[in-house]
Amino acid sequence: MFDKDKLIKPGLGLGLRRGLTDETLEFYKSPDNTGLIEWLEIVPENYIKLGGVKAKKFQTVLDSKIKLIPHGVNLSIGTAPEKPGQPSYDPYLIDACKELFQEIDAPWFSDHLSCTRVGDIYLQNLLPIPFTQETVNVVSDNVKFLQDTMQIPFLIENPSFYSTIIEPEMTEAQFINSILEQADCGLLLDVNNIYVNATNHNCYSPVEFLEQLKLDRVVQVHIAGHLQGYRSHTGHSIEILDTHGQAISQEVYTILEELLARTTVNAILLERDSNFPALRELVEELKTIKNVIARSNATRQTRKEKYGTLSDTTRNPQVYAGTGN
Amino acid sequence: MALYQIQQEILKSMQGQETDPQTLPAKTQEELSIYYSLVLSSLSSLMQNIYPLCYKILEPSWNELMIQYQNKYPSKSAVYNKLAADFHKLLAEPAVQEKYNYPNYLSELALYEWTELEIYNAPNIQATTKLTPVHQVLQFTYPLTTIVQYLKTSEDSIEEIQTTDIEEEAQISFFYRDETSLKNRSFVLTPASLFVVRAIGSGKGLEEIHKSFCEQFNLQVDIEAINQLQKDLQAANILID
Repeated sequence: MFDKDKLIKPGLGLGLRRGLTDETLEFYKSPDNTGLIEWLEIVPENYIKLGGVKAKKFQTVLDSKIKLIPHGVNLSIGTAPEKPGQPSYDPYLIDACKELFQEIDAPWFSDHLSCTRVGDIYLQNLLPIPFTQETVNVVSDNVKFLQDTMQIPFLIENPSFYSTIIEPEMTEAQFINSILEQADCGLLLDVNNIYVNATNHNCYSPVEFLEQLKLDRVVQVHIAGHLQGYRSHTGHSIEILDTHGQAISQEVYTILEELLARTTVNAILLERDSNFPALRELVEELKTIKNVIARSNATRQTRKEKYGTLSDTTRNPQVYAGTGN
Repeated sequence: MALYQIQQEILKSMQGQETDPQTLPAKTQEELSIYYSLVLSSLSSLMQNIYPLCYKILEPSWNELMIQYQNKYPSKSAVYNKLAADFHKLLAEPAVQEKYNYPNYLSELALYEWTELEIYNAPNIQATTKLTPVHQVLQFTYPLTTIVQYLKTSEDSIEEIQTTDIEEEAQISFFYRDETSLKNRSFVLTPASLFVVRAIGSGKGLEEIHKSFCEQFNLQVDIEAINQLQKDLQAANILID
């Protein structure tokens, strides 16, 4: 049975990006790093079978002894196999990832609840998967295969989505919970994605969503920025695009605070994948996150004293006024 | 409808093909256009980074070519950069060449730029002979080394660069990663030096290669020349210890 308390608790971290590697490692070792960067997340697809300059640079990261945790983009746990009941996977990627995960002694690995590969073709985007029982079965088979192969726990990440593809058979929260149960895995909760989906689909308030989830499965959190407004080449528009290329909005910090007031997590990651600012700006965001953690811890403690020991899903309406949209 | 069939239709949608409205309703197709736009946008950025010289020439028709590339050359690799591997194949298609009327050497230029990236990123491998392990030999119809230099330094107008053909002139290039500096290097091979490089790659020693070459063409063995060649190849880190 999945138990997040058995996993390490590395704390606050940052995504390792090549352009910022030297600065990040320098900051990690500096006295200014007061628990702001305690681990780094790597996208395994960018670090498999390395050579030349990239291998040399990665060696400096390994030499720094900072904890590395992998977060995939192409494991494609939402890909349906041609023959039902079989896992769908890319053997080359699986072997290469296994080698990397062993090299970095990964405590867990994760990827998005989406489809990035159809058959053997990679689509280079996190395409949505329908919220149906069949998808729950497909994803669970794939996740079980991955966990058995890698011999470390797997976390599914709630993605941002711009389509439900077909009429959903269940809500997003029910969909996630069903997979957590059936695959017996953990959850990487992206609080920005909660905000993006809540806004674009106007389907729930972020707090309602949090309260429907199995929060005892949340091992890791992603927090990132988004872009207001996006229009496709055909003119279809959405209110918010999940970019990881902007500063974190106040609304997203609020969701993080609401989450952490309800449960503890093992790791929190600031995700920044494009439009990179100077590292000091990211450090400022990490400081804000640290303050949010401190406030939430105090809230959780108060709540515990006032209402006794509460399970992750127990709530009191007076304490949990939703943030809404 | 089974998830497998739905994803086959999504794949078609991401390759600009007509999809079955029974499987993907019109609303879904509209929503998927967001993903298609995002894919094209990131593909365009990736390709501009990998093919800067091709981009310089193809800029006016770049967006159209990206759509064609996305639709025709799907990637079978989880490694993002590999998505760009087949650009030279698109540019070699006669219909594409005719439509966009770019210079005759462009497909080979794309292969040249791609090979540079491949060599730079190639996984570290253990050398099994004295030849530097990460290398590729490419045969071109056009003088690519000269063309690349021209494109990097030319003060000709961009319109002229974008439309000027170059005369054919066969060239064999040896691309390799200098494992000391980890930088890419390349040089043009003469048929004789190609013979030498291939022989070293097959595990033969330079002296042995030279003797067999001399015997084959009834020439006198020139030990001094061998020593010089050995020094040159070692200095360029092509011949390794």
